[in-house]
Amino acid sequence: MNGFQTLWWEQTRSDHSVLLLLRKEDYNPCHQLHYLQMVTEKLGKAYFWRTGQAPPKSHASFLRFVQALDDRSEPDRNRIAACLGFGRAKLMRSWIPTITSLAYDLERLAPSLAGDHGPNPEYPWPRNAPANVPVLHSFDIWKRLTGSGTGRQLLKVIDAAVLKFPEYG
Amino acid sequence: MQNEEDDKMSGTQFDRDSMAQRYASNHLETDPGIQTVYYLPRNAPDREIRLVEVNELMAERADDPLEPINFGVDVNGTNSHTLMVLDITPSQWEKIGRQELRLPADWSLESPIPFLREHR
Repeated sequence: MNGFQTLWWEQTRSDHSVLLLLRKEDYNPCHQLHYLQMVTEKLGKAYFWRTGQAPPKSHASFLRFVQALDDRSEPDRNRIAACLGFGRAKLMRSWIPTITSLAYDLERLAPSLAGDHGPNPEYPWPRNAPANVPVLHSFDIWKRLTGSGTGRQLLKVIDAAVLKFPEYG
Repeated sequence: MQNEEDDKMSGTQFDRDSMAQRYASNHLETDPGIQTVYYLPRNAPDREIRLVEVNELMAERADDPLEPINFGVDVNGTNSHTLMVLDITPSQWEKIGRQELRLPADWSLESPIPFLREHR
């Protein structure tokens, strides 16, 4: 990890610790989703700083992050796969397409991408005439994250990706 | 297969075109949202691979300039190189074709090499 990555990872790790507290206390899904979105975004930023150059300002896709891990040389891939809970790099690669839909929907939770009319975990919407509020909304992505094996595995991989970041970042 | 590809790259000669094909293939395999990957070798430094990935699932960020991500792949050793990936939506790709939207500085659409999804 270089110095830039260390800074971004410290913030990511702190956000992640809040996410774990929210999860432990079973806080409203909107708060957990808010922190989950921030954690995945910052994790991607922390990773892409490995070049020493600033990544794009836009929200770094979690999918792009795992693809970048998969693009590393073979010894690195196997080591990373082990860090994230996969036995081999091949298993990690076959897992990536299964989380595509969840990863894109997670990214779209950011208010700037959700738009004026879309559900987001932070602000009431639509912006000009609010009729919905995150704390009372039933988020489809929450059901998919917590109610399916794929979703629960994604949450576990994100947890591992944050905690083991210094080993592969 | 992956081992053979890695072995191919473990010599002293860096084969940019082969690596570009490998990365494009990986990305098409792992992200169903990617329709086409364009490899843009023209104007790129010898050790830089430039890919434009047209993605129908990603959210369009109308206000953001087109900025590639440096994937930070093999940064050390004899095969060290840079992989730059530009994510765009199909409508952004059409705008680029109509010259209503610009690629990043020094990127050229001259002689693009497309990689398509084999099965949809």
